[in-house]
Amino acid sequence: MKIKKASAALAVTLVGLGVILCSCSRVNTENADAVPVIMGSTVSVDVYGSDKKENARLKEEAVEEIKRVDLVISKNNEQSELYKINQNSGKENKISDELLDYITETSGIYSVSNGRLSATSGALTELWGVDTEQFRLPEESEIQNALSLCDDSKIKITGEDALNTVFVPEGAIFNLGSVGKGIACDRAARVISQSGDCEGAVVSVGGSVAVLGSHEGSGVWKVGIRDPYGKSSDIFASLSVEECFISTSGNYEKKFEIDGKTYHHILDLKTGYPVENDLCAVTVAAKSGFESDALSTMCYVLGEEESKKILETYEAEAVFIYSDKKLSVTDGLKDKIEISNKDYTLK
Amino acid sequence: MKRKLITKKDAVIIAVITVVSAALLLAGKTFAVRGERAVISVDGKVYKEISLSSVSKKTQFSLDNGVVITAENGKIYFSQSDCRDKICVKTGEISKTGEAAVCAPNKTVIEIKGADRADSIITY
Repeated sequence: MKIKKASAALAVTLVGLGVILCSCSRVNTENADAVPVIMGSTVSVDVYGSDKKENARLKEEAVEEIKRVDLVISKNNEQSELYKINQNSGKENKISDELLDYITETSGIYSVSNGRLSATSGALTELWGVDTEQFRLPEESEIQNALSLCDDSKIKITGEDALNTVFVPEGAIFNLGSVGKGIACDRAARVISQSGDCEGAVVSVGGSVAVLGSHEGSGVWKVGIRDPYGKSSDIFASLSVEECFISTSGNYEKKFEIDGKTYHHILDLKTGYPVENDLCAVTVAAKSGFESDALSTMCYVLGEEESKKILETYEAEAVFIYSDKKLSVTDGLKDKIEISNKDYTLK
Repeated sequence: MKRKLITKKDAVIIAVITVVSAALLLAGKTFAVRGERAVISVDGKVYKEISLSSVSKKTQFSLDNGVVITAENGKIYFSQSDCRDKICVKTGEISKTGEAAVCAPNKTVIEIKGADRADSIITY
């Protein structure tokens, strides 16, 4: 009898423990393994530090912050502030300080591109179906009409602080897609470094990466660059860098074929068509995610020669990846790049 | 004195094994993925981390607590233990992310982890 009682008590204890443990660790593991999809991109945040609970908390806060940013700048999310403003073009719209900052910074950084990039590229990207990935080849007249709406000089901002309003001509559409992932990295990085007791962290929003602080006592992080001709997990080279933000723009990410011709998603606002040059992708390392994201797109559109001065202005470094697998690397990255796929060679 | 079927010590061992297994089971979601790192913990502290893919020949680790662990390319196992039940040795080889082998009496756990994110950051 005694034994039975003891066994029963033990069984109850074990089941109880099991239930408690399951419920606890389910919460934890879900957070640890979850790969949220925000801004149409997979998001991952990894926080390094001795306090595991604090790491998990910071990770959660960073992911929440990225979700919040999405609700400000997403062009496709019907709940976002930008979406609502886009629905109301041709009228004055109230706008938050935060969104206004993103818009002015975006048209600011693109102002050196001679109109080949803009914060209001939405009319053209929607025409091509880039944002929804339902591509189509537009008529020439449609393209010309759309291009006239992609002009940042027509953005009118009035008021001060909380009373700000923004105006764009009817049909003009803000599109911060080329900087959004970088901005999300910036905001997540800010949350982690402001509130955090951690050693370091990695934030990745759809291939835009922030490496912050250190891990295992080392401040050097290895960031792989995806092989444009390989699978999504293949890299051809890696950069050993200290705290910075890295983004890549390439013609391999979104593309479609019509009548045997391949079109990709990076559009040139001078021609209204996808950029045609001998570049395959450009990777940029910069001091902010906004800059790395914007500059990688700008370098891809403008090409290496025109980009050099702009990169210097922002003290950013770049790897230009050409279609023939030749690489051109700016001085600051020359001793930091390690090429693992020997098909790629320096120019 | 009548000998109990389950002594207090047994109960503790069973509880530890159950708790650890449950935790590891829940932690390792992707059983099908071949793991990258084996983490050996003794008494709740990391004793050693081994990159399984870079183990080229059979390597043995003799721990102070009487446990011997053997690593081979891509897999790892308890090869010896001075414990009574030898559950750890009977567990055999483990190689996939989320798998674990436990020697409860010696408070020793081997767990297979996936590639560290810090080694697999990719920009695209």
